[in-house]
Amino acid sequence: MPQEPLLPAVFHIMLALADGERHGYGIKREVEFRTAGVISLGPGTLYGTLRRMLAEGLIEESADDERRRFYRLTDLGRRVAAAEAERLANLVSVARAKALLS
Amino acid sequence: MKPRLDRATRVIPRLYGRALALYPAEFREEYAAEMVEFFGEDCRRAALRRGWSGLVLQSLLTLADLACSAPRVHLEIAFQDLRFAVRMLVREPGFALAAILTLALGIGANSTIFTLVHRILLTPLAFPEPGRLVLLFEKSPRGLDRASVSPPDFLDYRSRAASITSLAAYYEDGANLTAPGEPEHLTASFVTPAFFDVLLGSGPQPGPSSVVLSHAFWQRRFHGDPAIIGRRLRLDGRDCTVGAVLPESFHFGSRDTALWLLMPDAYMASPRAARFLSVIARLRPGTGLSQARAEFDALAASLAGAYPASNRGWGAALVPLQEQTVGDVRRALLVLMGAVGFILLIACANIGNLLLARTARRQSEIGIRLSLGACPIRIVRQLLTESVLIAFLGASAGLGLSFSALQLLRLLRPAALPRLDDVAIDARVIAFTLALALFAGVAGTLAPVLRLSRGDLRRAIQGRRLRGALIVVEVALSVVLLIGAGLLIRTFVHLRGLDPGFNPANATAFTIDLPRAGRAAFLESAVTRLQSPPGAAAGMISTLPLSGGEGYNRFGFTIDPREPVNGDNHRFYARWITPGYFAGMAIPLLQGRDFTARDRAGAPPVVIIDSALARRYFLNENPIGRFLRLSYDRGTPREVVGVAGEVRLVAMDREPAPQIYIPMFQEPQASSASLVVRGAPPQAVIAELRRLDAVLPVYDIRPVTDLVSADIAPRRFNMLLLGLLAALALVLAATGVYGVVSCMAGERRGEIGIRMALGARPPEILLLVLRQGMAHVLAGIVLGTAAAFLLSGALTGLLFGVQPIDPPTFLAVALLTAIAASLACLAPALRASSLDPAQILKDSRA
Repeated sequence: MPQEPLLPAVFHIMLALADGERHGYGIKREVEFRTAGVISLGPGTLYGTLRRMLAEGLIEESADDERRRFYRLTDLGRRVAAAEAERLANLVSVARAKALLS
Repeated sequence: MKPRLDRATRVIPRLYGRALALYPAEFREEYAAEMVEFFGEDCRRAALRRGWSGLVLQSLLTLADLACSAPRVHLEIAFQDLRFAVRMLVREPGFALAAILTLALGIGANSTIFTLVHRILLTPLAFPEPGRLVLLFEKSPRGLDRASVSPPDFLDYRSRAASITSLAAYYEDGANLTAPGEPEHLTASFVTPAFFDVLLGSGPQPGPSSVVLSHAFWQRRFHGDPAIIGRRLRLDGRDCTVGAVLPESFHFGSRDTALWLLMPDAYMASPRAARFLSVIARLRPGTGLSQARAEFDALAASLAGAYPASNRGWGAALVPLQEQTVGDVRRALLVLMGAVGFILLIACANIGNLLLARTARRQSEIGIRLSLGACPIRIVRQLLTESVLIAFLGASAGLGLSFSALQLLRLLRPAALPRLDDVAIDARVIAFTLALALFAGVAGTLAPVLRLSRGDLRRAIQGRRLRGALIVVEVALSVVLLIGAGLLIRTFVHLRGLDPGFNPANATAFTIDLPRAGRAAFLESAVTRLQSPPGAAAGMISTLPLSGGEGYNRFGFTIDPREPVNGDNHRFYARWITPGYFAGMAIPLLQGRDFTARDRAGAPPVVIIDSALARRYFLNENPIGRFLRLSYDRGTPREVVGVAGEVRLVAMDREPAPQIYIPMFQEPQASSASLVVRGAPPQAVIAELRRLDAVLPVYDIRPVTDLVSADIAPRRFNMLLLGLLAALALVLAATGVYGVVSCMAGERRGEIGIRMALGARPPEILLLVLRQGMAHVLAGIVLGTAAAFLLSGALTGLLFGVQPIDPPTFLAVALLTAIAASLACLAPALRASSLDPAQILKDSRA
């Protein structure tokens, strides 16, 4: 599983897809909602990242309605996301042990 | 929402849709619609929440997003293409190797020659504002337009010329260093005080007893001793100190000049007719060459008016230093540049052929990708990426080849190339190579790609006619190169076959500095001793033939008493020799006698003339016993005692010129002489000379054959280089022919099978394939020969004894090309004729 940290955009997209499939705009809304508007993905960044994640097999297209495509995590994507979450959790526990977090 | 705001939320996304053109087509096709909708949604929400300010902010953010993400997507797709291209090349290693090697040869040849051209012709000399440096020569009334300058003329030009800021004279000679360490003869340059100021702006100043050393000499003799300044040297019997060492980058005049000394004042008191100085000047800023030339012409005319005895008819010539340094190499390098250009075109044609053949092999793959909806631009982009990758790999290999070739050249140090020390591959050469690679890659794919973009897939894939045309061009280009090389080879063979007038085999030349005191006695005993071993022949001469410096020893003579003493002189080259020189050089004595020990100072003056002079001035008379007056000594009559065979004196490609030999015993003025010995080992000769004078400098020991080979070395170098390039062109063209004919035969496999099934015999199939290939080859030969008719004039200055349009060369090249090409066609033709028709038909049914 990943040694290098994932790009923030990639991890946010994975988090948005963790509880089910979404279309492009749905992903953006979910990320905005969860970060209280701090992170807002532009269309270029979002679709550029989705394209790369598709090529790397982290996500796949699911149902294709007339107007927009839906995306979901693949097994690989889910495992990568879990590993990244664990990496972050470890970092947080170290930070807590060093009394950086209350 | 207000209606105007509402309209804006619909117009802005549409504009965004246009801006999406910044993304690659492939990405746009996939996502553009969703992205526009996405942005529309964003706009509406922003306008609802914050009105106009929200809409503007959202638009700006999205614009920034576009600017960041578009280049990224481009890069990602390029990398993806590159990965795919690498996979395709790995899958077809034969193709990859052939293509890369072809390009490496083409590009390697180009960057080597470009490096030479760039460094030798294009890079200015390493002096400040080198464009302002000019050399001053005097033009003789007899048409010698780069003669040396006499000291009084130099002084007059220096004091009167306004178009120059400074003028300096120099005179290259030898100097003997006797301390510290072993005695050594050095090349030295005697210069006037402003010499380094003219060249460098401000520079070291040799003084009456201080000398300037070259960087190389300082390194070699003193191991780069940092405490060299102020060290004492003993030069030509005088003490002097080291005043300065020049930087490593300083190159001027002879390559081996070791030191610069102040020119003795006595030089300036020479007569006005003694022209021996080289002169360099720096033009005043803003003064054009033509302006300066006009001024010097006027000055020369006024000198001619003031001193008619020495200057009537003499003019002045200003030659830019760069032009003089580069000299004759210019034409040869430009011809080579043209030649390597041809090679690159042939390489491109070959690559084009290889790519066309490969596209044909990938017909089904491309077809499937197109029918699955891949956009044609995507496929074009992929093909371009592949060929650019091949081109860059070829360029890297080519640069490697070029680097090795230049190392080799530096090792060989051909006399034909000046400024070779400066030659190295630099950033500009690498830029040139990469540009070539891009050109080769794009040009190589252009044909298939243009057709693909027009959507004309079938023709793009076949490209049979195009491939035929490429063969015609390749063959034509290599015919032109081969004819050029053939003409140079014929020139060289012609020169090699010429009789220099002496027999260089088995003779050795030495240069010795003659002692000041008792010179005549030394000469006499040295020659007598060296001649004493049985079978040995030895003699000395002031300057050997074919060793340069011909401007100095040209004088006039009159025939006594036929012509008045002050009549118009005939010109001759003067050579001072000792008895035995003719035997040493194996120059035949056609009439009369050689000089003897009795022809010494005080005895009646005598001369020996050569057959060129005898033929011209004593056509039906016997010259023996006649008297000549020579211009340099105010015309003492001298008796002709012998006629020697004529010798090629100035260069092998110049006809023998009239010569007069004067006995060195009678006029032992020269401070150094060349000794020629035949039939004795060099060590024994040196030992014998040392017995006579223990500190006598003996140097420049070499076989006499070197004189001839050094003289024709530049031509041999040009011939070898162009010959090599032409051979390369032929190999590349033959490879191309082989590839195309194999491919065409492969495409006609089915037809061949049917023909065989219908009763065609193997020889007929063989002829069928051969005919198809050779038709293109013959067209190429005709085209190339026609082009050579037009182009071979460019070689005129490089040829000797051969006309640019030389039927034997043209015929031989046509024949050679036809043979090479038919061999290239033969293999695929044989393969086609040995096919099994049953197997072919079975395959085609499958």
